[in-house]
Amino acid sequence: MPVYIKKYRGGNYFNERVFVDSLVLNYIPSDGLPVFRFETEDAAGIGTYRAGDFDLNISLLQKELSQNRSSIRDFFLGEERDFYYLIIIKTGAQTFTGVSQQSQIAADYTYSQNRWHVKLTCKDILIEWAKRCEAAANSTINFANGEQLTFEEYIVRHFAGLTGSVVMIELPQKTYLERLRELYSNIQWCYALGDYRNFITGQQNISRWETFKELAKGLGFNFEMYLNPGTEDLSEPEFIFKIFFITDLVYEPPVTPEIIEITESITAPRLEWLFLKYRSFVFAEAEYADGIFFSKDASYGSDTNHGDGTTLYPTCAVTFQNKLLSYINENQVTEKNVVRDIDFKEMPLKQYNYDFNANVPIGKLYQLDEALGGGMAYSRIFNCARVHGGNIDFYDFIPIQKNAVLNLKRFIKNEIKILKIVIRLDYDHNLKLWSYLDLNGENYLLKSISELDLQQNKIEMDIIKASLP
Amino acid sequence: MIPDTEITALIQSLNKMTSEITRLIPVGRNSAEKEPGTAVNSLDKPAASSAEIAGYFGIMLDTTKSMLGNMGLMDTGFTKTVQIILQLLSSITGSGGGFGGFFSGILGVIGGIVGGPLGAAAGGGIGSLFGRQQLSLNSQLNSSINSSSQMPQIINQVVVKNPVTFTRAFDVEVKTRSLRGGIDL
Repeated sequence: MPVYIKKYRGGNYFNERVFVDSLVLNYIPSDGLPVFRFETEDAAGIGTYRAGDFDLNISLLQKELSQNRSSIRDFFLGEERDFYYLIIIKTGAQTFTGVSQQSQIAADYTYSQNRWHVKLTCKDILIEWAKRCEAAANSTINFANGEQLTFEEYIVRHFAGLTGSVVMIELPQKTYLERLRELYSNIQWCYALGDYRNFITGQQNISRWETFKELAKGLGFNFEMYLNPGTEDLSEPEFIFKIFFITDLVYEPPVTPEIIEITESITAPRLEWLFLKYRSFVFAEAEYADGIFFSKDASYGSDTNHGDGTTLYPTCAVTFQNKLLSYINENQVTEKNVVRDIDFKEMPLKQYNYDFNANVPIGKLYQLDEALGGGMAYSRIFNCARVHGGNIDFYDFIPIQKNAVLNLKRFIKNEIKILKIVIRLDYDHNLKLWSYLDLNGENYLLKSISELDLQQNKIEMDIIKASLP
Repeated sequence: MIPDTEITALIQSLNKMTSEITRLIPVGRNSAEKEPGTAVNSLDKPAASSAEIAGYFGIMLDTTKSMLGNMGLMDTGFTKTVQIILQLLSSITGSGGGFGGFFSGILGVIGGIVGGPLGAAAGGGIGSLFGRQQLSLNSQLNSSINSSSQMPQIINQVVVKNPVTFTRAFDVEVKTRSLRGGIDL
């Protein structure tokens, strides 16, 4: 159970770091991790992303010396400067990494009550990465008009210049295009278009982290960050930023844990329908949306092909003071009505202001700017071309919607089961958030870790039943 | 329906028991008011009388059990139960405030056997009623009977949780728990 602690000077590990010293501990006190929590998303929310934190107590009686021969007290509090610390807890193949600023470290010299220790409050490395990406404006992504990037190329471009040579972007094995072609075999291509990205105005005030999260919500993928195994001994350990689709987890070999304790509950209630709004503009009579709403068994989506700029239908129309959502088909017949907060929830996709360039169509809604309101979700920068009877529709968004729906089904009403389990620490498997577990033939996903007990070799976590297609 | 004979037997038992207790313990006085020099001790009652009282208790309880066993009246409701108790109480005349706690106990037993909100109301409500003043008995019983028409709503509130309330409570719980850890990205 080594704990690797690296000391740096600077601001953010992914941006500014000067290695100062390092310390390796092979022991922490029995109450060494009084707080330990890693999360993926808010159990009651929709489209939220969360990270974790932990407290680490190190006894001042421990005799370990740092690489530069400093005692534990001097290593952390010997000098006041812009120091921060990278803490890597390694249990077998598993690692948990946090970052602690010097201001988040405190020594307690009370000799009684088993104190006399240094306490570090450490935040998940993913928060450090998010902070790095928040500090860069979306306008700094080099993506010119006329450029076309695949999903994989775009993601790399999105983080270009931010990785500080210590982040590796891990993309799904299956390409995004292959994924869409499994749904619609007649797709010619799927690209992020520079023109579309550049329609969005005010990008100098929008961070790259925000647009990345918006992209994740709109396309339905997820992400996590963990140590690149084997680099914990380096002065600058590397991290993997993994991007994945929930639907891919079914292909991973499940971990079968040794269960010590187990309790069961049901997630917070969900509504029957979820609405994804990718683009909208407001007219006096309604807000017309390019989007889709879906339940467990059905879906209603707009169709964005054809570039005539005049045909609104089929569409998702929102009326009645933003309460009533209707699907109006190509014959302008209302097929389905659902009511906000009673029948459906809306995935919170930010609608960015946009301004079309002349002669760059974006489907049939082209040239209908948001005169009275509306906007465009960031994921709408992607677009497909599909062949229908020898003709190509160049403004097709349906496959992208369909793939997102497959990955967002956990947000609709189906009574997802939650188990809180305590399991024996498994030193062979790298058990990470979103790991795929097998419990008596049923499959679950690891949603959060709430306790790590290194003395008794057990770990407490919440898992949800995996309702994968 | 409850056979009249059983109700009559129950009432007779209660009446007999009441008169015995009245004879043994002067109404309106408690042990603290005994004459000077008299031992203050609950054991200073004749043993034979105690046994007799216990016998009456046995009869009464048997009758009560039998009565409740025949109670197919849960759907006819609380009103019927209260009517029976009303008959019992109105047949007992002249008993003072000192018996309040006693009857509260007896009716509490009934309440416990009936169970649920009905039983609690019958046992606790009527029992404690009688423990105050007999003079206001009828009006208070009437109010109990009148309130019986509200019982289904009370049952709904207690047993079947309002789905909306439940949802909110659950959300609050989950959010509160989440606030202790997890940091929004």
